Amino acid sequence: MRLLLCCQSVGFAYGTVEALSAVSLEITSGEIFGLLGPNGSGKSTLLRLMSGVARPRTGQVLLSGQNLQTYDREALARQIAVVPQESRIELPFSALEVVLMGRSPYLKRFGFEQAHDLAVAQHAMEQTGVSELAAREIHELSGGERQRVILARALAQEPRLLLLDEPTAFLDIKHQVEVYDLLKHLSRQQGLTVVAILHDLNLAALYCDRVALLKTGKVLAQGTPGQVLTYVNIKAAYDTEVYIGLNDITGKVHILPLDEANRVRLAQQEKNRC
Amino acid sequence: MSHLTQQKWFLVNSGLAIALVLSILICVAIGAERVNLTHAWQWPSLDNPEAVILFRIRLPRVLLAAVVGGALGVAGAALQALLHNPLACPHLIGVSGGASLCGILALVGTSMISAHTAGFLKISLVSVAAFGGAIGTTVLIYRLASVHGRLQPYALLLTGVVFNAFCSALIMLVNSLVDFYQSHTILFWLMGSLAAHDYITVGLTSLYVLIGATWLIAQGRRLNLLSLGEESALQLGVDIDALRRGIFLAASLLVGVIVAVSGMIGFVGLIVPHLVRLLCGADHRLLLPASLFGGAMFLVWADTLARTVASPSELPVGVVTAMCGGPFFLYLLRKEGRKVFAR
Repeated sequence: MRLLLCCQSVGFAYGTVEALSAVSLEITSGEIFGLLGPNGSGKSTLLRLMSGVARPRTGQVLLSGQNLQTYDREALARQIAVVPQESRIELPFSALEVVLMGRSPYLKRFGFEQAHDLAVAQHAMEQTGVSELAAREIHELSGGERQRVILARALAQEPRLLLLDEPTAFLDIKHQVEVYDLLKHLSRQQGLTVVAILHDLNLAALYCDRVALLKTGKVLAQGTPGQVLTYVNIKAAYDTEVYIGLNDITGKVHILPLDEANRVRLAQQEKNRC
Repeated sequence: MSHLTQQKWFLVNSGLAIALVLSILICVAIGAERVNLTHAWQWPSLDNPEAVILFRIRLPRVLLAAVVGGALGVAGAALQALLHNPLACPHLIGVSGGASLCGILALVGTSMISAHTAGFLKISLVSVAAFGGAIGTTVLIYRLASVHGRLQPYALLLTGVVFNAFCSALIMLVNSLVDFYQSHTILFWLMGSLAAHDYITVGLTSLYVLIGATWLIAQGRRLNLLSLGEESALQLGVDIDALRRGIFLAASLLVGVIVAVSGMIGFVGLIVPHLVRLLCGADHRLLLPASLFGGAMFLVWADTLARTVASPSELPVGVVTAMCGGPFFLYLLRKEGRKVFAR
């Protein structure tokens, strides 16, 4: 397995508020890597550093061994694509036009999209299942439809690395698994590398090859979902007790929240054991 | 076609350019005074009153209308992208207020120094003062709307609106202190007028507008990316800080020079980009040049209406654009606003 992206003890702060400290991660080519952790643990900040949009205060991020900050922006846009959590587009662009904007890093200064660019965009829209929305205005679409258009735009960039910030937060369960199935397919068939922030630990367990669990700007644990998603780690990261079982069908761990009465009971049992 | 192609770009732009040239030719022929065109053309000298009307009065005025309208259209389209707000207009960013205030102060000032200042000198002094005011306001607003050296769209919007209101108040103050004749001139200037300009003014304004508009039009693809949001634009390879700065400066200076020669002509920069978007889509590579041609055409016809409809007297062109633009815009707002805001 080849190393694609490498965070070397990166740190970042918003003003004086530290968001990340000494985070080291290695993303190998073709894997699906999940970033997990409670709200405010620094996942989104880490993703911004990985996309090169923000510059780390300490340490460095390397893409194929070269510091991200030394890349030309357009060259970087041909390597890395980002799907943000939410996109608000105020002007009445059609869905196809939005997807075609993903071809922008490939165009000449005053250039127009050529037949090849159109073909790439249409293929990306087929993949995310939004072909029939091509002529619709982007702000007429539902949140889920819009998100899949944005995903198609990212794919139209033909990136090696796809970064996603909770891509399926607004999708229903069918579209959630469809998006992750597609990502899995792309990573297996075309060697696309995916780094995604996930709130849903079960989806992470189901689709990620490896995950990292963050808390207050530090990596608490990293490894396969089975290694990381343990009762102890989740308790440490989220400060809550959960039920962890094994899914009979997938053979992966699955995690369920517990109500207060059961959480108290579990915590009590643990205390007694100690 | 749900996206822009090179073919469509050429078709729409050349169509609009032809329509603009035709509009200019037709509107030169129309006027309060009946002019025998062949007569004027065959004998184009200062002794021929028909030639004087046609070439010295009407043609520069129609050309200036085209330049002013085009600049307002393209500035409006660019500012709507910059501010992420389809309701933004060139007079929103405060520059018009600053330019008008300085122009009016110059107008009153020159009259106080000498009641008999030559007309031409007075007009050019007022224009220079207004343009100086526009540049000064641009710098001031840029400073006020920047946080850590980065231009913030929402801060810009608010700063512009507040600054314009402040300038309006000062203009009203000046207006209430001067005599009736001056007050009348101020009012006429505030409502906008394209009359009484020579070819030198028209030529200088055109050159200036050409430079600003060309730069803005060249940013079309980046403006598209800007509307995806800050992070996405950055990630797609756009240096958004430099782009925002550039758009703001180019648009401000365009608006500044326009206000300096023609006063505050409203609604052109607001409704023309909207109309073009409805007809040709939102892609800024086409929207900007099409708004240039569309704005030029709109103002050429509006000014023709202004100088003919109540002849022999004349309406301020700003009144005509507002009377066409206001109701039309409310209609658009009802129709489109529902889509945009009801989320």
